[in-house]
Amino acid sequence: MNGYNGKFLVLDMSKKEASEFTYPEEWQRTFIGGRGFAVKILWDNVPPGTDPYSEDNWLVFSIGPLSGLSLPSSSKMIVAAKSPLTGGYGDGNLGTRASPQLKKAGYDGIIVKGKAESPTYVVIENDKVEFHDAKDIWGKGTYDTEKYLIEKYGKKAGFLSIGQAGENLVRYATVRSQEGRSGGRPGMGAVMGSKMLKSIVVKGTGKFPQAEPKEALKLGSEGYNMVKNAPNYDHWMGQGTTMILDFLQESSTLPVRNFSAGTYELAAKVDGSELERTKIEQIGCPRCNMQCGIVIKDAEGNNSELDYENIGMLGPNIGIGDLPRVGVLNYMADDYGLDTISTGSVLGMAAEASENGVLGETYSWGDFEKSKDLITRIATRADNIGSLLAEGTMRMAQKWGGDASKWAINVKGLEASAYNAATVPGMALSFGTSPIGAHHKDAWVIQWEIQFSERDAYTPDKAEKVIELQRIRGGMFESLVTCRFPWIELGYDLEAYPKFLEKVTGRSGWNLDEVFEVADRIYALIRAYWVREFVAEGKVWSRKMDYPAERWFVDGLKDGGKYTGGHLEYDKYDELLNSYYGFRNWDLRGIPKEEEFKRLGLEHEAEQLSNLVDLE
Amino acid sequence: MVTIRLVSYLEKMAGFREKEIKIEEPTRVRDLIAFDLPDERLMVVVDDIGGDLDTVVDNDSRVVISPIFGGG
Repeated sequence: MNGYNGKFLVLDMSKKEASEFTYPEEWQRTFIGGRGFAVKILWDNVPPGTDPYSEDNWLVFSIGPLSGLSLPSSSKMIVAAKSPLTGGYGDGNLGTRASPQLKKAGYDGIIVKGKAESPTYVVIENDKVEFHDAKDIWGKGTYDTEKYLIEKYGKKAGFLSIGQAGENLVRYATVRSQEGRSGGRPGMGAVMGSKMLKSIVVKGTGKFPQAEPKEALKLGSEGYNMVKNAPNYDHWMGQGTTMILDFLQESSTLPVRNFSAGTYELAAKVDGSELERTKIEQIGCPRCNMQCGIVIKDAEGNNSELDYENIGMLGPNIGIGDLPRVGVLNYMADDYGLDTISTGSVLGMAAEASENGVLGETYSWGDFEKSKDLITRIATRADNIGSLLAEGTMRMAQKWGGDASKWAINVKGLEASAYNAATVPGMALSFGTSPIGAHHKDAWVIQWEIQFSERDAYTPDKAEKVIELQRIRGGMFESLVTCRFPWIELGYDLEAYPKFLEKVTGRSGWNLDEVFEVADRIYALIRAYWVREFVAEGKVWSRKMDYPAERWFVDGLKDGGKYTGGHLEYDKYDELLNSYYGFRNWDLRGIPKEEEFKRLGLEHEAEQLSNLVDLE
Repeated sequence: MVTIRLVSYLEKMAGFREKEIKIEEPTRVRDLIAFDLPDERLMVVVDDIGGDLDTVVDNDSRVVISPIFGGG
């Protein structure tokens, strides 16, 4: 099918050899690309129970048929692997010039396997692949690493790098690109580090495979114009994602002091208006005309690129109400290659542990200098406390025991994004059922459930809405692979995407229903992957894996206005979860039923899974 | 008094964040708005219940008007 190169480049780090992996053409219809290809490759090739840091784990970079083309915000790439943070399927997307460069180099992705004996970086120029000694950049932050690579290979190349956090196997290390883009929250940077792979440089000179390039370009031009003429475009360009912070404050859904409270007394010091007032420039991914990265001069003179998630987690969640200081912490995390959401959550938990005399040293809410100190100790695993915090909140809770489980705000081990779901059951379900752990990428429903449902209710409409969004955001956009922001933030027509697929692939008949069936297939296979890994490792899989953070059930929300004292209820959440499973045709353990696997053409995968667990 | 709370950039458009308006009879939200707001992509919540610009409010109502966000 057009729109694809039909193959992945395989980098064997142990042998320092490159080869090609040609995948079955039918995957282009059944999985589309990106996340779909990634989970299928991991399912087929990484043995059940594989240690995420072993040479048998594969790191998959995967683009899709629309990636890198001239259509709104298309230069995205998926990075996926078995997660060292959660033990299940992990992935993330990042905007990167490596996306179009890889497609022009003739590949639909890169598979990294094995483990190099010493730090290495890889340069890909079309079919020429070189493995280089990375001793000059190993130990450097992501900014200096990229600067080094730009000097050698030029600004137009695509770069994928890790910082010290990835090298030191921090379980929430990310992959970084283009001096500001990050992806792979569940430790994809650590998997890259475990393979002693510091960076990948990609340069391609071929053409984008497209069936009707002129038609696709025309459609893309219309898309760019629509984005630019959207009624809220100027406001978006002023504040980006941070415009949401004031809404979260109003609705008591801000993450404040480790998610214990829902509003923050200094919210106005870190909100979108303040960000807009202090903005010095705006940057974004290649092929994007609605750049979401808003840059300020931070308290130490760095240019720090902020968005809502890192402000929420490194600001209110640790009691820091000063944007330039938040900027410093964000810059440090970005440079080290730490996920900013998990970093903020780990710091929030550490502050609460200190309050309770468990941390072993003093760390108070709002302590800027100590926050800096801890971030460095985490990224370098400098000592016992830094190393424990580098393990993430789930393992911190296991180590400390007692009440610490309430301070660990995660699902399946992945720390929750910057939304306090204690009084919004639909959002709690979204976090609970996200395919990588508590991430907002697949479904964000707070505003919908307040406006169109009953906020306090656990009604089936909320499960339906979560699934609807998961199909679009987690299924369609993550497999195309292109950014959801033009649609979700500025109202770009969703129907445009199947049209793009038709023009690019040359296959007529793509429509949203068919795309959503692909999304269901991807979700079922990701869920099968989680269950397989848990059972293979002798761990227990149950519906409790889909429960949101314990705190949201057992602690009443503080500073939540009329929602003060509010919390989720286990029995009602179970009903909501049953609705979700019912709509998905999954059983009450949260495992797709045999007939559902069959509907989705996953009979072979179901048979493999049934060797480990009985299917209904 | 009806309380109107404008969220995020709507504050800049209207020139206030929150204000109270005394009304003599039940009134549509739309008729309380003496400034230009975009008709589309707005969330209107009256006393914590979803509504729209045509929802009728009374004194003691709290109206929150917010842009629609995608949630990143």
